[in-house]
Amino acid sequence: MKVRMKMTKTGPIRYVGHLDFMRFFQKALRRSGILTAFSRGYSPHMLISFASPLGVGLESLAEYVDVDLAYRDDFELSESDVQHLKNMGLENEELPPVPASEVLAEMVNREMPEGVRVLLMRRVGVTDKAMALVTGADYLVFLKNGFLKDTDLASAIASFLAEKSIVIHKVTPKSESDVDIRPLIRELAVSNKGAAAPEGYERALFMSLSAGSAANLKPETVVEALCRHLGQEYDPLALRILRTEMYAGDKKPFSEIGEAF
Amino acid sequence: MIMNNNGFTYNSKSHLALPDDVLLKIEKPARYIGGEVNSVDKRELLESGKISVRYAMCFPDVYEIGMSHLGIQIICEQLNRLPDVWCERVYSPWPDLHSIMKDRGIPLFALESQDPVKDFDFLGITLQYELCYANILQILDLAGIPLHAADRGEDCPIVCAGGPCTYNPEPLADFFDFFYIGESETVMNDIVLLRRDMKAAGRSRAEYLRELSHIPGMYVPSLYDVAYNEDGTLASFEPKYPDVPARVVKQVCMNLSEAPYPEKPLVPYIKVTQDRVVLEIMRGCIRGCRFCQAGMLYRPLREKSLEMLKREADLMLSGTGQEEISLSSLSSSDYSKLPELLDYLIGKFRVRSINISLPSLRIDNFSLDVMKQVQDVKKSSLTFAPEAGTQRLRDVINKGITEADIMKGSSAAFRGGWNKVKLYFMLGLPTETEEDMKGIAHLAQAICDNYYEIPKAERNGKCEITVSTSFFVPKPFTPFQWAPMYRQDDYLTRAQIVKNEIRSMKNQKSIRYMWHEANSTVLEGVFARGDRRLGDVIEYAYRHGALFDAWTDYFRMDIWMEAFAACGIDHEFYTLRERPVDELLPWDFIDIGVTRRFMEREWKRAKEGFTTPNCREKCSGCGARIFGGGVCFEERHDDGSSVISWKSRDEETGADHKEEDPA
Repeated sequence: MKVRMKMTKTGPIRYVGHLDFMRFFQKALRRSGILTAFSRGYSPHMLISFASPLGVGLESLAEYVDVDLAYRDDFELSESDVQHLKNMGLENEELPPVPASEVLAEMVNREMPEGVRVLLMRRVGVTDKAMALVTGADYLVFLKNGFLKDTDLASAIASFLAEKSIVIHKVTPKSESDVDIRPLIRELAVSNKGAAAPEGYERALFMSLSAGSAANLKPETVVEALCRHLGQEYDPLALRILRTEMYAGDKKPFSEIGEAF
Repeated sequence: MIMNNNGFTYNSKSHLALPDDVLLKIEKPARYIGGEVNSVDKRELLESGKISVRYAMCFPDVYEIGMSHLGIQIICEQLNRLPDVWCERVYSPWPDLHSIMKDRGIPLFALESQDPVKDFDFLGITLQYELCYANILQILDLAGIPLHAADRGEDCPIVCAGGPCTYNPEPLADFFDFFYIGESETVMNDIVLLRRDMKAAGRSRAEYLRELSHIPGMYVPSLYDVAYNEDGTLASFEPKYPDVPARVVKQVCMNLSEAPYPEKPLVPYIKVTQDRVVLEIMRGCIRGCRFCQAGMLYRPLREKSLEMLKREADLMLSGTGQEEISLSSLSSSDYSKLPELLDYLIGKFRVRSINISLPSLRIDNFSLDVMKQVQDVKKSSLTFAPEAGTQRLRDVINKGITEADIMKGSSAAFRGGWNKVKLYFMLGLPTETEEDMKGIAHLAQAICDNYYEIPKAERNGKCEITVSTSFFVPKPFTPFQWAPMYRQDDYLTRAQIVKNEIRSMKNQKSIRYMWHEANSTVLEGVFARGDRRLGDVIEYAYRHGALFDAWTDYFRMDIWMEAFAACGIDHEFYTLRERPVDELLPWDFIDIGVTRRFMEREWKRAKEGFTTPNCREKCSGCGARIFGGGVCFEERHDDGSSVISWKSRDEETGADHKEEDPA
């Protein structure tokens, strides 16, 4: 059975990059005793896929990861689902029944450091891929005291969003291009969640941005563009970023996808 | 400062020693956050006043290297089993963080508690290679501890060292309060608890060190006087006081099966060099290769019991979730129950898709059969370490393998489906001639010929041979401790000769050649057999920017050359001379069990080209028997070939040995 876990990644582990976190997560699964499926071949590996990589230094309350488990899937399976399982060397009917999602979550959580918690686990289709579904994500961006200190954030955001287009010059190792990020900003506002802020970061912005393979906008890019709009200096070290949710399709929270078990 | 979401409490408070803006700016910040799975957190005990000794255990290199070191994990395990001791880890901050810590005055901290090292009772540093000496001063400097032991006050941690380089601790004598000569499983707890008790009784640092010098294996350099002859050689090395021992005897753990071992090793967050569970199967080596320091230092051979190893493998894999287990020893094929151990590991773990890695195996039919079961033949390569290109030179170094062994091994490997072979050699070995250098190329070609003798239909494409050479550095406590080294240019000439000869071989396109840097070899050679006068050089070099010398990108020979000149030290004094056997060597005060007399005999036999049998074939009376264990005490063969022909070590050191020379 394939499950999608929702988990947090907060605290010091935010300094562990995506690839290292994936490896760390696999080891935790091995320790947990959960039965996982493996790819076939000479060096079999777990079948794990994160919805969207989280940058080094960022925290999240909503990381989604798909994991193929070696438990029987009692939901309706299509022909191709059965074939897919066979390719992994699994006969659905021969697999053991799956424990309750809370039990599985607890098995994983026992192996996790403070700051990483599986909050939710749902069954998804054998061939579903979280990564392919992502369309958007929400963030809280805490601003370090002193950064943009003389700016009235509410009116700054209003004039920023009033722009018809906000073009940024994007440089990647492979290409350079101009991108209009305005259509990728679904929502941008001063957040009242400043109460949850880390010490020394009293103000916060809420952002809902396009994410995923089609169009991905990073929250730090938005702050950088906002600074340019205001004629203020941007400081990448003045932000603390918390991802709070991920969406599929037209704003369907990931936590509502799949079946409870 | 909390927030709820699905019942989760978001805690934004940080206990890290480095502020966010620093962590975001540096490479791989996860090196510095601690909190790895299975790390020991005694913060609650500390806060309730129940910790009486805080020990910072340091590997003076970057996190990924230090985390791959088994010894530190054994020591942390051992010390943390003591209820009132908290042993934490420290690694070298990478140069990017080094300069930030210097600029901002951020003190060096231990990973688990993130507390400054300066507040600890001990700072223990493991000395694994000579090129980390500048990093040791970085550790002291960043911690805010005076570099010189003589300048440390009562509040400073006691700074000590262990590991292979402590078998010639003299170049570092100024910087350490004491050196621990031997294995941690023996008296490590005693030295820690002695400090606790003496501190509680209000006794001073000096009183502690004096008392410590009475514990076997502990060397307190400040308690010894050193004098030099006019020619720069050592004239005398004497304790300052009658109660301080003149000889320091290596401490050896004779029952490894009952010694503490990390059953739940640390699981790092980031990928480290040795990203697997390491199972030490034995310590010591029966082989007696004359260049090998570990082979002499860790005598006698001590095996762990099969039952213990099975248990440890189970615990370590389930406790870490690692995907690979590696057997560790100097020569795994010599473990007497290897087939049984491998049967168990393969039977139990291959089905759980756990890799089994088997370094330091001899290539024979048994090991090829095992390797086929545990690795993908098509992708993997086999490694041989002939070490020298001709049989003459292999006999000089007592490598114990013949050309026929290598040919038979590679032939079996090729027939088994492998087509990639790696060959390791050393250049600059004693008595080496041009013929020996060229012999490396000829051996590689002979292996190629071997491959192409296999019918084309049964071959797996082209064969790929990688030849690597490093330059030999004579080490203390080996029969080659008297041997001369060469100048940098001379080393490179040797590599050039090998390269040209390989390029003239018939199958040169199938042979890749790689060689090691020559300038760091020279520096390693200076420190390996150096004396106390080198302390100034290390300090000068560190203060002028030497750091991470083991890293090619950071190694700056110009700084070291400037340091030698500024301190008036001729570094060639330490490298180019062949030392006469009657010279007093800086490390002669240490007793590793293997006698000087044995090494002198081996040096002579080496120069005459005579080999010496390994411990299981015949006892050669090295002296390690004094520890009361090892092969010397194993059951002998029926033909009595290994019967010990001498009664006591005193008798042995006095008597002349009359072994049959194979020639």
